Amino acid sequence: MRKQKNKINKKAGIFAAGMVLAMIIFITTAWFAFSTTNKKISREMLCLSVLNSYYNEEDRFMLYARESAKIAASQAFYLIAKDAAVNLKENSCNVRNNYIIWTESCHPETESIKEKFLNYYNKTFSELIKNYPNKVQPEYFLLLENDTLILMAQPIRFTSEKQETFAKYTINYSFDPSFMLNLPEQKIYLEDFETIYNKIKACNNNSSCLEDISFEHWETSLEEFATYYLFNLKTKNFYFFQDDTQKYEKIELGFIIEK
Amino acid sequence: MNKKAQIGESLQDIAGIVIIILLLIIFFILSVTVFRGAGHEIKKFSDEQNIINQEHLSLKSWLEKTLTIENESITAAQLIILSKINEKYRIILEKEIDEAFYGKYDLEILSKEEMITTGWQIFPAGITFIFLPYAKEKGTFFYIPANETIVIALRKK
Repeated sequence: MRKQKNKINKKAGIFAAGMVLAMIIFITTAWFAFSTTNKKISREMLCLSVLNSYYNEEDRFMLYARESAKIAASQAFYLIAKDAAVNLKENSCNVRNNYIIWTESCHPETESIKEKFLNYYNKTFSELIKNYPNKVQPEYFLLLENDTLILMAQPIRFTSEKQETFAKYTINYSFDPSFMLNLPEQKIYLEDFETIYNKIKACNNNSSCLEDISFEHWETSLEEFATYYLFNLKTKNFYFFQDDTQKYEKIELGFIIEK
Repeated sequence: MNKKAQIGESLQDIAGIVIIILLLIIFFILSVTVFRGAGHEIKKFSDEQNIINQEHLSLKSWLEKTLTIENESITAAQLIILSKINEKYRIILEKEIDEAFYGKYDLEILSKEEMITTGWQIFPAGITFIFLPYAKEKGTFFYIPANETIVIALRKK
């Protein structure tokens, strides 16, 4: 009888010890779950913080790119005006007193001006983008549709990685850096040069007609010489451009029309 | 003997109850500390981040804002470039900044080189804790294209 009771007490002891062991396991599991949740929250906070810094970097880059686009556009406009809006390499142009003489074979043509604009624009814009302090330098492809410049680029991808003991976390974020620039909004009128030439040509060398001539976006100054007219035009608006230094001035367009 | 056995059984019951109560207390403490701690972290982070985000958006929208200076429409970002070209625009710029940020903020305008020499450094993040593919600096700042890239940083007065 006593032996049997001892057996029961032994069973109860084993059961109690089992219960305590089960509880310890349960508590450990619960603790692990809680700490994992806490770590997970920390990781989520990290993701949010990294993503937030990506959004800010996107804003920074896009503002820089848009401002660069404006500067590049006015620089290209200045360079076109500096060459009297003609293609010196392709056209047979003559020069007198450092002024290009506009003739039937050497005068501004909108199509070639647009082509030239894209070349000049691309050069300045690429240089500015290269100067962006961070490692975000996409390659842009340019397209000029009517008066709108379309700047297309591959999406920019940001990737962050964090290596933990058993796992590697990767955060990916990408955005499209493409945008458009409306040239008239930037006071850039590429058709103006051919319009100026056509208006002058329509005067047919009549001096009073040439003196009365006016252009929407340009201030006109005309000097008459024995064998030619010297035109010195200036834009009504100011532009950012660079020759030897960076300037914010009116752009000049000078050319000669022979009598 | 039966009585002694009964006392033993009662003691076992009491021990069991004590363990259960202890477990309840432990779970209660865990739930309060672990969850409250995590909640606190989110709140704190969010407040700080909100201020930075607000400053970031304010500076961004101001830099894009069109201003009329001497009958010419230019953006605030262009006015900053202008202030670097011509000193007279610096005064106009300072006035615009005061108006836009209610005199509570200063705008630090630096070149990349000036920024490094004044100790306000941008450092490219390497593969340390986390890899970031761009320069990292605390606070609100933007870059403006010019001959020499201009760095604009918003600083609380």
